[in-house]
Amino acid sequence: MPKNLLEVQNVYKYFGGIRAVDGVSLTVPENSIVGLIGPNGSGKTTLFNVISGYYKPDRGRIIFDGKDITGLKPHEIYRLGLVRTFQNPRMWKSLTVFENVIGAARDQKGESMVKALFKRLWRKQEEDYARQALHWIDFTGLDPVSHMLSSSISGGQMKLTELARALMSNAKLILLDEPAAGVNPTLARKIFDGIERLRREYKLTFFIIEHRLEVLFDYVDYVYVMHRGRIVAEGRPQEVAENPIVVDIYLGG
Amino acid sequence: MDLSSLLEFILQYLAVAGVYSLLAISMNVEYGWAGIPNFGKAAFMAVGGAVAAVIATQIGPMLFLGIEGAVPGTLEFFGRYNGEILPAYSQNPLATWGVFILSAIVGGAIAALLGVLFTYPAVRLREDYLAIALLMSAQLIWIVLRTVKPIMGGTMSLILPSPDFKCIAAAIVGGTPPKILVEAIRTGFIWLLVLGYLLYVEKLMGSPFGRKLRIVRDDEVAAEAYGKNVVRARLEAMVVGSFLAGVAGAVYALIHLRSVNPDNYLPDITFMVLTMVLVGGVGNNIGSVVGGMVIALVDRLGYMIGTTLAMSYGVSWGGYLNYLVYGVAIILAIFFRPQGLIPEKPVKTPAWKVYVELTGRRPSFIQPIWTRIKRGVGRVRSRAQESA
Amino acid sequence: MEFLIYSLAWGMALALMASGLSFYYAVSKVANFAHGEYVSVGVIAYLFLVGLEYGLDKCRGFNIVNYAMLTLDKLWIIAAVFIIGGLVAAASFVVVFWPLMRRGASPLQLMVVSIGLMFILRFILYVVASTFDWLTLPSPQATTFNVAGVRVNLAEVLAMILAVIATVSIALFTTKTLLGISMRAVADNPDLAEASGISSFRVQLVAWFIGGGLAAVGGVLMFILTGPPGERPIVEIGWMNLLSIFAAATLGGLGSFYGTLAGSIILGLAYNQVAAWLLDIGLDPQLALAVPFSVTLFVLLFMPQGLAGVDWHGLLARVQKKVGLRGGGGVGGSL
Ligand SMILES: Nc1ncnc2c1ncn2[C@@H]1O[C@H](COP(=O)(O)OP(=O)(O)OP(=O)(O)O)[C@@H](O)[C@H]1O
Ligand SMILES: [Mg+2]
Repeated sequence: MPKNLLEVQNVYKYFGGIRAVDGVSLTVPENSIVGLIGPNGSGKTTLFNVISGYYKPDRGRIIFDGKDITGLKPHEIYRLGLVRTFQNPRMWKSLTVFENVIGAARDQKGESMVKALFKRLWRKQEEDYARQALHWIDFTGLDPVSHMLSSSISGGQMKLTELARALMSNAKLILLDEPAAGVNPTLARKIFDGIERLRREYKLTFFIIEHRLEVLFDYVDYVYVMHRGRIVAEGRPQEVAENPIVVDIYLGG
Repeated sequence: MDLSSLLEFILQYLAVAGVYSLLAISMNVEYGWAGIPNFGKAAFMAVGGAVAAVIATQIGPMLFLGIEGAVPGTLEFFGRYNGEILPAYSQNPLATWGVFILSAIVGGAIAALLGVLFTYPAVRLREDYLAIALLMSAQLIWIVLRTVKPIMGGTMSLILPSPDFKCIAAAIVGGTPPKILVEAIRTGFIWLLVLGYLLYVEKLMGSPFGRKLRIVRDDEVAAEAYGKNVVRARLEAMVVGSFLAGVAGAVYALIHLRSVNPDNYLPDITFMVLTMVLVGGVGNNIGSVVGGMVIALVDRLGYMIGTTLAMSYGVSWGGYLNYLVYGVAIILAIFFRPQGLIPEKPVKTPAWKVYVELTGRRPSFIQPIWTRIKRGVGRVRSRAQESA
Repeated sequence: MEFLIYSLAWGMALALMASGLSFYYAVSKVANFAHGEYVSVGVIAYLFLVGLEYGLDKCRGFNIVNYAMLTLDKLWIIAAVFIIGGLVAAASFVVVFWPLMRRGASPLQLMVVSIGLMFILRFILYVVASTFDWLTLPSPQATTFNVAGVRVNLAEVLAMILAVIATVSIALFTTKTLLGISMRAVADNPDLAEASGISSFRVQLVAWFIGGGLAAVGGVLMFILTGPPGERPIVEIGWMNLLSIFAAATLGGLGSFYGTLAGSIILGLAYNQVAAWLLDIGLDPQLALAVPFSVTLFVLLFMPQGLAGVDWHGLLARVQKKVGLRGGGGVGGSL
């Protein structure tokens, strides 16, 4: 029985009268791929924002890797090994794709305003990170555009850059918000093949929001279904696909 | 115009351009690199000036001249300062340098501290609100300087002991050096400082630190997600920018104007520095120097045209031509060239060397300058042939 | 008593200028530094129109001050000043801000460009003012009345009447008329408003016209009430008051009109009381400028919605309950 890397315990987040997240509890075991599905506006992104520290939950706790991370700031949560990507890609647009990726590396010595002046203190690390960044750029197939400004690449490539950044950050758990939105079905499968490989070879854990159920269900171990801020169903993909509640939500809207 | 007066004009122009470049570089760290609209720049320069005034009148005499200082705004101040302290400085070139160096260091340090104090509470505001908050803070400093007489002596310009370049010139040629040589050494010294600023800032920015500032500027939400402490990064940029502005403020007061007056630090000067950055290149340090040189030229030309208009045509508004030029420059820059004359380049850390090695590709922005020039020339030539 | 009326009138003149800013900020979201120049445009336009009436050659230099006395038969000039100020503001919207807004310029870019516009307008004003030798002038007189034993002058009366009329009519206009309601729609969501057939351009143009007109009229009244700012040329009357205008508008909560009126009156009373008190204890009354500056800082930092944002009833409850979004409202953007 693998231990749980992430535990969300009875989390609430309201915006005025909108119950965006309304008492959610779930777990993500180590080295697994867990899916989160639900119709538009069901609170999936809000849940990610709460987990990654952008919103403080009104109630409830979030445990990551055995530590209570409720109320920590996003950059503190990143340091503990949890990163998230964005539904609408957020590029550092005046930087190249390569810089977008390497910029996400952790504990960069040269980021200190004093050490930055002494190249010998950080040159080695920077060069190592450059190699690592190129590795992930290769992995995500971004090689041909790596020298281009990240504002000038296509939407799909931006999504891949988001993924490469997350990989660069050397996190244990990666939250992906619709990694395959807006890309063609072949590429979507390729992306999920890559995720599967990362889980196998790099022992990473993924928690993924995705609307393309036909692709998602082929890869995930476990799925949570959200509706109006609550988890209304959960289980293995085939169980969830046959669950009448889920069918009802997706057909009924 | 004979040769020596032309030379003198050029030297004076270069001196002003150098001082402006210092200011523009410091603004560029904040506005260009970190995206912080520091509309309070004048206050940070004023700190350098205020420290220079206090040191020149009160601390310097004790420390460097061995006589008692005088407090501006008191009854016996002018008698003592003009009659005793200033003459003592003119006898003692080393003391004037002591005043300058101490003012630059202390001014820079206090300005850096002030940068944190001003920005910390407001750092999370939307950028236009942050600009207004910084502007208001700067105005508060201005009021303090106007009313607390022991700092700058109120609003009468206080003459300061400028660092003595004559003694350096005399050491070179002996005897009484020609005025032009003194002028040249003064200008040279200012450009030495510009070079120092450039080296420091280029080194600082061509590193993961510089990349972090741009990351925070471009998208702070994503920056937080990837471990950047946004508040801290902004404060760091303010510390660097304010420190440079504080030192530049000491240069501005002691070497450029050779006097202080709270009214030298009105928001107009902030906007002038902002114009330099906008014109020269947002996020490009060399661009800031170019901007400083352009605006200094505009200043000089504006002044000359203004006086000519006044003398030959009896037109009295020539002196305000600068406003027109600044205004047009800002609007044109925002409309047609938001990146300035020299646009910013990707951050050049050693990572790019590895990139070139491993991919075998050499993106255009890391090709050496001469290849780029050659390509540019080639393009122009082929275009010329086409049209022929 | 007279001093109280004077302070009140000063606040009301400030309210005219500040509600002008507030009005177009509500629809266009431009923190416009050129707003101060609309104020100065008002003063110079007033002097120029007075000059036209009495003969420009007689009105050079200090002579204008006698002719420029504010009397009841000069009310048409005030109306004309409103139109001129409005036209300048509308023109700056059409030529500078609208094209940039359509390209999706950031608030900061709009603000920076407004500084450029400010410089150009100031240059033009300097050309006019120095051509007629009006750079430094004492403030003109105004007809005085005796109301129940208290002396009030026309500028004070006008400032109070116009500020109240302007505030009430803008407030009624934005809540009751179709154009006004569509203005708020534009402010809340320009794309949606455009889609539903409300021309956001026309709506904004009207707001800028009225905003500039109010600034210009407020400028004339301020000029007559207090004269030139410090030792500065009268052309800079707008610039010298700009930060107070920002202060009043932010204190009121940008885009709220009753709030702006209240904010201006509070500032007017506080500023003038402090200035008088400073004079009494032998300090430089300029120090009183610290009042608007620190008020703005305080409001920006601690109550970003201004007076209008304060939920007076729920204040107590709110203090006890913590707001969810971490770090306050600063970090913009959707996630
Ligand atoms: N910052 C906010 N302020 C107010 N309401 C919000 C905020 N963020 C989200 N909401 C609301 O919360 C609800 C859930 O939104 P959320 O973005 O989490 O949905 P989602 O499941 O990610 O939808 P989608 O599939 O479209 O991405 C929506 O009704 C949304 O309008
Ligand atoms: Mg979502």
